[in-house]
Amino acid sequence: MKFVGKVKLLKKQIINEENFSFIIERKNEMGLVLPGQFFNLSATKVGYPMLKRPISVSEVGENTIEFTIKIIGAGTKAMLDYNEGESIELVGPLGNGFEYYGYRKILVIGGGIGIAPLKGLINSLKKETVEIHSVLGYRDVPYIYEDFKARSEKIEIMSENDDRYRIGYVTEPVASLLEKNSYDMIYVCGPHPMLRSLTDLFNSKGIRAQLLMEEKMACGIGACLVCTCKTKSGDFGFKHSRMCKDGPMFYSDEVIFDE
Amino acid sequence: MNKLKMKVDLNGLILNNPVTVASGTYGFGREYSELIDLNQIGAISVKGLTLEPREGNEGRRMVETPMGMINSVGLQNPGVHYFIENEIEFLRQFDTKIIANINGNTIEEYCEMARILSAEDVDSIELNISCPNVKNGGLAFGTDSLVVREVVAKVRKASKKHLIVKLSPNVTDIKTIAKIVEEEGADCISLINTMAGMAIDIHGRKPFLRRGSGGLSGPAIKPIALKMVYDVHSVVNIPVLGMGGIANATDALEFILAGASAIAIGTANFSNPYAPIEIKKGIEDYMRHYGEVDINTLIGNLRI
Repeated sequence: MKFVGKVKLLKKQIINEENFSFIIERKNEMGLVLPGQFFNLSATKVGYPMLKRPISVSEVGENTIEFTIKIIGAGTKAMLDYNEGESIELVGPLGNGFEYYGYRKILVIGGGIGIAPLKGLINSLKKETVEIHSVLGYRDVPYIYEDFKARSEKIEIMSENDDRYRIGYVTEPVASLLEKNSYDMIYVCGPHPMLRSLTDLFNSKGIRAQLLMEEKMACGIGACLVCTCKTKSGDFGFKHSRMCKDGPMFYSDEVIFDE
Repeated sequence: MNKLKMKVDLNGLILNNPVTVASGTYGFGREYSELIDLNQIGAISVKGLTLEPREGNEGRRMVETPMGMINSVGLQNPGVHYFIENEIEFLRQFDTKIIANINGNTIEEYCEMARILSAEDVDSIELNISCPNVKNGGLAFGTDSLVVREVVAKVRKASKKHLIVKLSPNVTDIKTIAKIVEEEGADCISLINTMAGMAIDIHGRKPFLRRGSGGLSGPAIKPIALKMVYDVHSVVNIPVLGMGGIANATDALEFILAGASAIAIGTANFSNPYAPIEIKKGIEDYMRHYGEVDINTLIGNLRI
């Protein structure tokens, strides 16, 4: 089930100079909304920039949906102009989302704004049944980590520049966690270089993770084929999967990183 | 309320209404069928087909530009045989016409596809001689008048199906090309395909698109498309299927008044999945407002 139409912006929150969040009303017609899925949001009321922006859900409430948005260009910048109480045009939920039923011990690895959809994931898992280890990486001052702190049995927060935290990339603590633990599933969302180096690590150990990926999109529903993810096909071949429809979650052992 | 006559005749291909969707923007209709009622669309021109399946170009394939986007998908499609076996039946559930858009590497490939599709349940073949995103064929067929003449003539011989030829705007004189297409027996002309375009990432000092450039679509190209539709309509007697940046009913009516017997919506579907239905309704509202009962009286009916 997909919703096409307008919903009310209930709350807008500025997180820091690069990031903000929207809480919108959740409509019945949206049906089930899974962590890892996204919506295509109109960037403006005036129609320019023209294309809708694919934004992952960072929390699915009973009557609300939260998006945590990083300002990366004209579209996401324009989105900041929406005021509480105004309507936003959107389409969704879109994409496949995470698979998470039946896992008892998981590792979540997030980088920057990639942490947002993982927040939606951990908050939809029952405390009693799932043990969560988290590794979060930031360029500067960490943000939206509180839920991970509260929910994780083990957590490592990394920063490239903020020396109140361990300096470095997520790959280091992930490697040592993998030495000592075995996980039912690993979830990753973050910048492309991070996905690629973690995938190399997972492949070398013969384990697989769910990668939540991104790409510039147009239709968001799998019709226009402008967003693509190169994936394995057969023993030697490849195919261009649709990031928006076949993804944005792909298993790490399916994806070909060749750029 | 008077019943409006919305049927248009594209020289043997009769559409319930003049609002169609453009090839490459609608897949084979499956994804959009979850969002809108495809019965309300006059025709669906399916994703550009090739003889063999194609994986298309490597990403990145799209960059948004002012009121438009540049794509370089490169005709990713499952091939004409897959289309026949898996997609026609699905589309046939809907009361809409099926236009099979075909693309060849060689003239013989165009003919081969036309022959194959002649035996199949499609309503029309759209000969795409204007794709800017593939190495061989595509645009190369649509810009050289001698080649245009040869490919249209040969495909015409290969198939008795209703034949649309889709023109490229990347030419010096589109009227000459249009006249050749008419002379060689096309039933209808569709235009315009995307315009060659480019955008550069100044920080990386590289084009945004892996392939360097691509095809520009969206409202940015609308005035150019409109002028070309007007020009072509003025020199040929076969109907014109107009497209290029149409995003609302006003745009659509401009094309119809300029001479388009039907219009196609492309990029606007991405930002507004309801665009075809809203545009159809907008045209009807306009007709009621001006007391027009038949859409056909508006076609090319400019007061100049």
